[in-house]
Amino acid sequence: MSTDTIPVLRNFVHTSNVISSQRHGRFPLDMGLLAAAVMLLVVGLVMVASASVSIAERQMNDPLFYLWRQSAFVTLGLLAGFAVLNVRLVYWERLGPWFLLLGLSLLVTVLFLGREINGSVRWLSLGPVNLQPSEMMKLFIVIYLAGYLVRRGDEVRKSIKGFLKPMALVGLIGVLLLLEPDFGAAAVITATVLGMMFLGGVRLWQFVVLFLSMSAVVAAVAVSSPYRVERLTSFVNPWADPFDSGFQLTQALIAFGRGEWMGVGLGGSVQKLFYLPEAHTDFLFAVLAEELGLMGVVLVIGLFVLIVWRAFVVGQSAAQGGNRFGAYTAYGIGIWLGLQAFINFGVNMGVLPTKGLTLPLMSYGGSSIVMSCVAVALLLRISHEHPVERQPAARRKVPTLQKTAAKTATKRGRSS
Amino acid sequence: MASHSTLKDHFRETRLFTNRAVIALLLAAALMILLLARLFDLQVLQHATYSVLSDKNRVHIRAVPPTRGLIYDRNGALLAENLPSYQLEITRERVADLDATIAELRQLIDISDENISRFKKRLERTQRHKPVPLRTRLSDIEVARFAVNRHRFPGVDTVAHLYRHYPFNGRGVHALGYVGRISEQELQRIDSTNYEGTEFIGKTGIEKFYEDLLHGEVGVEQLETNAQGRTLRVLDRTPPIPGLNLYLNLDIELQRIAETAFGDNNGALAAIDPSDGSVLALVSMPTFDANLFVGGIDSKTYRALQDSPDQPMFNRVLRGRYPPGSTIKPFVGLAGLEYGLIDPNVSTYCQGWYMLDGDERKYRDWKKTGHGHVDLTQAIVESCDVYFYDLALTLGIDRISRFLEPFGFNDLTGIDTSGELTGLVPSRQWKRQAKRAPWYPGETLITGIGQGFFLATPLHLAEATATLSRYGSQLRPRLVAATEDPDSREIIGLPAVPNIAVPVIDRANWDYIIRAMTRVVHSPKGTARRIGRGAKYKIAGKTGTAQVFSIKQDEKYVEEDIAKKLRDHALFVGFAPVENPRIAIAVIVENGGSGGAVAAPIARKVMDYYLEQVLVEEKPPAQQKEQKP
Repeated sequence: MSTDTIPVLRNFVHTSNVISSQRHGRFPLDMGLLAAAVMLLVVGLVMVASASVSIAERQMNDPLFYLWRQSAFVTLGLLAGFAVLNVRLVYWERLGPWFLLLGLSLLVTVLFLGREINGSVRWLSLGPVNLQPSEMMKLFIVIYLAGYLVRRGDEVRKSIKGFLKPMALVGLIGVLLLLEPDFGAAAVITATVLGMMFLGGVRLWQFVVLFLSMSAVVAAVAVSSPYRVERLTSFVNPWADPFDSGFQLTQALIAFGRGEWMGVGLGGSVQKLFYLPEAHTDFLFAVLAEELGLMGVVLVIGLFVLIVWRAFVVGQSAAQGGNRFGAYTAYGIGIWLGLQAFINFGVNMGVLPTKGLTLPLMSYGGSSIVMSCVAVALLLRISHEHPVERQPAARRKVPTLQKTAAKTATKRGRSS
Repeated sequence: MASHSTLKDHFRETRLFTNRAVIALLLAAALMILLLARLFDLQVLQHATYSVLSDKNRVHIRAVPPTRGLIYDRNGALLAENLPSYQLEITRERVADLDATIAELRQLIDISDENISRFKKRLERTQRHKPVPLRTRLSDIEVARFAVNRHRFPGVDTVAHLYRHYPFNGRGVHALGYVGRISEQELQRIDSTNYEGTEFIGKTGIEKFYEDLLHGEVGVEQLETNAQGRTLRVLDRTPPIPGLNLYLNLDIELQRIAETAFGDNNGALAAIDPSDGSVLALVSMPTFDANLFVGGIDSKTYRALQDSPDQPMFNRVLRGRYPPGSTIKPFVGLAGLEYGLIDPNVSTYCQGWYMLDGDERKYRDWKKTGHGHVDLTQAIVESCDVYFYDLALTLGIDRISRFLEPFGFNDLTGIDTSGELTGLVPSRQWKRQAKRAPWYPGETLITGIGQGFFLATPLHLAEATATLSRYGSQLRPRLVAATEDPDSREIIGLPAVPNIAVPVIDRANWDYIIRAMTRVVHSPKGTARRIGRGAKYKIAGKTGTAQVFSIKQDEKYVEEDIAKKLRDHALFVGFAPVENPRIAIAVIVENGGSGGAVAAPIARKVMDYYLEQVLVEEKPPAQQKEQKP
């Protein structure tokens, strides 16, 4: 049988080979990844409870209102994650295009039937819960693009068409998201796709051209309507624009400042009481910074770094196992979660414009929690199908990989 | 099995990835370091600063909207003012049960269902911590009643606001315009910080055109609040910069005289002072009450205005595109002279109609029996159509449109109010582009008497007349004379803005036309001789009628009275005094019939009032230009 047969089938063969040749325990998983994710979920739940006590009391007459809901979301997320853990990767690869279609149709639906909250139409009302299609789209696009890079890898690397087609798709999704408007999701999806394409080997000059043309557009907008730029850059000096986003940001900065080394103690935040709006969603990190201080903040950042690192390690070992779909998916999820967390940190600290992005695995919000649980579960599934090998095996197919694995991940691979 | 080349590809791909992963991770590491540096800066280095800030955090920040500039007429009469009133506001996040609160409020204060539905709509697009008005313009009794019960309603407050009021109601509304609540589209366009707390924005007219000047700049107030968010005291205040006051060239008394002179007729009038381009009156009849729009007009009243057969909201003076009819004849005559194609002393014989070679159609004169032998002066005085058919044919459409275009019919006049439309001087090229048809000679004929495709707004006609009186030099018509800083009382006059002048070949030609136009008013056969009687000054003018059929385009135009509908529009253009023009006027009376009998007397009344003031002022030559406030 030739390797030039249908790609899915080829991967299928690879996958089954790997599974049959496992030498690990009965259900091997990447324990570091699992631990980091679980810790973030727990810290997140505690912080949501702490941050939302005051607003829940005020709005709902039940201080634990948001805690109960968030617990339900986390439970739902864990159940969904457990289910995902038991689905073989090939099914994801095969269903990629359907996921994309589902995501696109949800994005269109939300524009017509969505619920408007604070001026944005991002939510589909489903009885007691609201569904946020943009959150789902993030995972769907990663899965679809991973499959696409496997199927059309050569085209993507070698022709401009292969580069432009995914870009057109991102453009479409971007427009749908901007219509809501959901700038944050649009930014994360665009950056994730670009990151995956970069790792997928798109020629560099195409990126250069893309960035140049994007800067040209930004420059044109800046010249034609300077007030837009002003609005976008108001985060640099929030005190100049003390209303709206400026107000929120000044309050977030105050929260950070109050935190110092060890924080004011869990539950001790003053900012969350009244001054910091959306403390339990987009600005959860600020409350965490106030209550747990630099220590807590560094811990959370460290956990996210761990997740991204493990995602790349898992991706690497999937690549070694010949499962390129698994590899791209892992990289994609790693980029997505890392980037979204990074942007959220940046917004909270006043180094990026206010975007309205949640902190994955932590912030209050059903769609966000469930989708990030599913994403982590998918990473775990990949690690299950392609366990990271403890010792540098002699029969590695690609010697150069060791070097990188060593450099980027561990110090263990030096021996070869 | 696996061929060599694919294996090599795979190999290369992996190496490519490895390199790129390294780049990506380095980038990520750099970003992480930046993030950590920022964190350390915020949390450790700046800890003291932020702790102090946080102590100040009983402080709530509130926008203080600037006071909108006032609008005065040329004599200092107040045309647009700001009156205080109380409104009832609810801050969503401080109210536990909104519906119950509203239900309770309704027992104290009269709140309609429309109030509530509008409130809910605004609530949806407002952040929870900002107040949203539920009822505006509370009466004193309602304010007092709420004040007594205020403790029962956390999150509800009465707040003093200023709302726009137009003391003259509908007078001059088509020039002045009005303000209204900021709409969703406008929100996208404006600087939302500067409009924080501002409720009204100029929707039409001067209010819209000068929005930037009138609005001013927002101020900030830092309030100390208690746990419920109720204000305890004001800690710090950056006062808003109020908008500038505007002084208009418009004379509201002149406006009243002009509007009254129309009686029950619909129509429009524009009066310009040719000496400086001041717009003295801008009338579109009927008018409507601008105050209706300020607080948000209810749909029933709006529909009544919208559906009225008289179309009060249609801005006839700026947007009504009418055929200028015979009022264009002096200009066509001038073209003939300037191109040197006619000898003013040579007569044409008018037998009551005109025919083109190879065309069976008879182009009729308004006078069936004909005017006999007429020269250019007589043709203008008696408004002979046949003379101008002949002249138009001699000139040809290309010369006519080339000569008339510089008078600005095809452009906006550039008047400083919003909504103006262009007129249209037809040309071969225009017809080819717009109608995809060639130009026919018959169309040249009717263009020569201002019919057919020719269109001009009343403002265009007044401006062209002023240009004629100035021997071709053009000034942009200006409604606003000066701005005033309400704090320093400093008045800055807005300079006259010249437009490109109409080229003059021989001033004698212009003298000739102006003399002919003077005879239209001041000679026994002149079509406007009625208004010449008893005038203390000399008027140069021209009457006109416009056939009604051409009105059907653009604006929908519903007229119930069929008999009246068939009547022509009556027009008059003119300026006075002839020697030293101080007022140029264009009048159109819809379905008025005769220009001389219906339109010209309106112009005379306006001229009488204005010139009486001006001429009195000018008699002692020592104190002239002192009419501006």
